[in-house]
Amino acid sequence: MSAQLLLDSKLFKVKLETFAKVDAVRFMPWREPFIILKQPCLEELYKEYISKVQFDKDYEIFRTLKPKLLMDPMYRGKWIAIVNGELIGPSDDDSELSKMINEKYGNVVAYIGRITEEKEILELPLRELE
Amino acid sequence: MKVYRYNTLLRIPAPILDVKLMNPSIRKETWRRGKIDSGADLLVLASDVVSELELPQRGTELVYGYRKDFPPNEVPVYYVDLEIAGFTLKGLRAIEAPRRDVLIGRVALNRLKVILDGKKLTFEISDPVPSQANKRET
Repeated sequence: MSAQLLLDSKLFKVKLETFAKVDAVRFMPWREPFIILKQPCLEELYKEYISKVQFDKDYEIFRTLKPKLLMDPMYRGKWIAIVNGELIGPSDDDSELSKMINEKYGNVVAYIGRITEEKEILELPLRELE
Repeated sequence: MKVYRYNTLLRIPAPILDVKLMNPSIRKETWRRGKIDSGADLLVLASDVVSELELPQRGTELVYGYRKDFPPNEVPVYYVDLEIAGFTLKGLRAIEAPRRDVLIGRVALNRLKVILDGKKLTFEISDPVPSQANKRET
């Protein structure tokens, strides 16, 4: 089985590694170019897309709740998690929240964030000489 | 306490050891070369670790590289278990980067006692106070 995917689709960003799973690329003058993917690849991309949508929803809920939770001494400075729209926490330890999510929901996306005024900016050497 | 040698094959020798990374919810694990980096806040995973362990995104962080004249990037965050020097550290906050090894940042180092002896090109790792989040695997 195979499935078609538009090359410029807004739903899926076609990554380079995806091309290993491509059956064929079609260029037709009367429509946008598209690729034909093997079925398992499409399922993988769809799963990835659904996870991304769910993550964005949870992140949005976090951003909406944050100003209200900042006023609440029970939450201020603590970590919370949003999983499938559900609030978990507060906790002093983000690791514990991740562990709770694994135990209750399994290997799912979630937003784990800290209720603080400003988002901290971390320093990490993303690229270095090797 | 375990004593390791610096990797002297690098131009400037560095404290490097093999570490195990795990996704406990689907029981997947993989080994990578880990570099001790007290300058890094979090764990920095090689990008292929995220896909191999099927780690789900669980947050975002704003991150500067060494060059602060570039605006910070918002990058995905993952949680992963790490086994280092026989100690298992659970639920470490991590990001991914295009690199081959794993940077062991302070999110992990602050749960351990790490002594770097640059003159002898050795380093020691021990767990001063074994705790619930930081217990030795049996």
